[in-house]
Amino acid sequence: MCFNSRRDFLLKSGLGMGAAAVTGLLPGGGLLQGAMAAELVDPLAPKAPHFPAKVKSVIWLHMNGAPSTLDLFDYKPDLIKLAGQDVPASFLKGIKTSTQGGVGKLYASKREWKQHGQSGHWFSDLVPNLATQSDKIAFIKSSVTVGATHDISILKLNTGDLSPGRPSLGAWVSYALGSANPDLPPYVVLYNGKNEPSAGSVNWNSGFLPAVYQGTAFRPGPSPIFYLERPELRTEGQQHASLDLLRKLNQKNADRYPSDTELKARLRSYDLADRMQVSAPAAVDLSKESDATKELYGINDETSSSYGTTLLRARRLVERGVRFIQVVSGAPDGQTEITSWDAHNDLEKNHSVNARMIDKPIAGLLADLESRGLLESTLVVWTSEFGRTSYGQSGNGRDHNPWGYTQWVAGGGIKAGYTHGATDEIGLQVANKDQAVDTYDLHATVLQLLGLDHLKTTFLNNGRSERPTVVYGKVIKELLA
Amino acid sequence: MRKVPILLTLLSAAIALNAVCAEPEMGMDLMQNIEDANKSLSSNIALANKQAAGDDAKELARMFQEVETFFVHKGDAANAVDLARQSRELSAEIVALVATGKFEVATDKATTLSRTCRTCHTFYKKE
Repeated sequence: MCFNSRRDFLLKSGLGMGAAAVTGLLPGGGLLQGAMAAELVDPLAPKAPHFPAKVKSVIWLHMNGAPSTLDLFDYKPDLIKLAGQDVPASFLKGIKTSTQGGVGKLYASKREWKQHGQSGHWFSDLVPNLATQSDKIAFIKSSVTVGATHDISILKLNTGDLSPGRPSLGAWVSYALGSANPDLPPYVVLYNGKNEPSAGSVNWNSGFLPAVYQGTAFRPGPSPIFYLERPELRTEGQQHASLDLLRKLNQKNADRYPSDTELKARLRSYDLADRMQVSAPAAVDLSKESDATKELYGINDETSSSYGTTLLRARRLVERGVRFIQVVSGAPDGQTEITSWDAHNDLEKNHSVNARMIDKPIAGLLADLESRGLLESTLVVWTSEFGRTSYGQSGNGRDHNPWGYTQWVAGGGIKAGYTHGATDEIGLQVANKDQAVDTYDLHATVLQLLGLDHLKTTFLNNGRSERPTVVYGKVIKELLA
Repeated sequence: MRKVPILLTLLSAAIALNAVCAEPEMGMDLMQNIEDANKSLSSNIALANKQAAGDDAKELARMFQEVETFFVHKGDAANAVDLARQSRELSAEIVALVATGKFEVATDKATTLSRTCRTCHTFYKKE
């Protein structure tokens, strides 16, 4: 092989490397593994999954503050019968109940319960709209976690660890699959309410993974990203001229140092920011949505308006190929007293407001995804940092419960209508420990549906091979269709 | 002066009694070492490092033997004894698996081992 000049050699070598990278993207083909080859070109380039994926996107609905699933989905006639009595000792065996206020008397709220759909899932009168979607849902009624403060357990819910430093699940997904839309980030965080979620951005960061994989928070309102808009004093032409110059200078350096991946990432960031000035506001602009759609999401109701708006945005992001959309529930507009599901007292009032906030929007989301043919390629996960106790607190509230609570999933690849596991007769602990589903198991199952083996989704951090499920994780095969 | 031999006799008896009653100890250091070794094992299996994964698994088997012995002496902890024994046996299985390059099966066993640790902590880990 003969090269005429050094420049020619570099050009041809570069093309060769590019070809290798492209072949690496083909499933089972290429000289280099998919992820590695893609990263040489662009850290967010689409990467092949380990096996065919059941879903393309995940909507991760975090109910902030921990709802009492005993008052929403987990019907316990014995709890109603025993209400007002001490918790029988047999139910407390093996758990430490010192989270906050000690063990109060068993408490039952004034709920009405009905079974819905062919699945016969139980729903309380707090979620009448969600009940209409019963047959789309698979419940996990044997959820467990580590009970601590909200912030610590929320961190575990999103990153799998009790201390900051590990990547969130969405970051792992971005790392493993890259972006399906070059004009938007692959991992977006949405929230309703005036303030960013109190547990903070550590819940969508990339930990030891490169920063390019962290979540991008879209705030409520027409301009979703801080400082994304072009300053008024600068014309569009000026901005493009400036970006073009920067790109040329950076590209020159990138040509000189082809192995400098940080420079490539920076180049991409500038370009992405430029494109996002148009694409991000368009993605969250609901002006072209019909009145019927807005009604479906409960946007015309004061209590559910902000959350409904957030979920409609989530659907629009799914349509645009965003891989992982993390939605944190906040407070309804105008509500200053009740800002989360954390009902240590006056559960009736708290859950009435919060359930009204989420009920219609989530039911609307499931129905809308289905009618648009998106439900089979989207996974919706309804989750929280822990549940709440069957014994009362402050007379009319409930304490934190990490020993047995309910979460649910719906969408592609899910055995709709199925219920996995159960709590004991009073809803305090998981009935069968072998069916307990910890955060890691939920993460492993989500990854599986995205076509990723959680054991093979690895990153070398300071010489140690790390994976999303730390050293745990088991795919809940019974949940899969 | 006669008090000195009496004191010495009592002291010797106390030391001897203490030695007879001495039980195996299990401090936080041991649990921390197990956690570290377990993370290292998981990483070394993923990296297909036969030697390092084998060493980790052997060390874990040894440490779980200590845990098992502790709970046997403690009494009234049949579940913990059983879980420690399971963990020791799983560690031994992993030693054999990585030696023959069966890393996928070893990963599954290592994940089961980690879950066994968590099950035990549910009941026996002190706050």
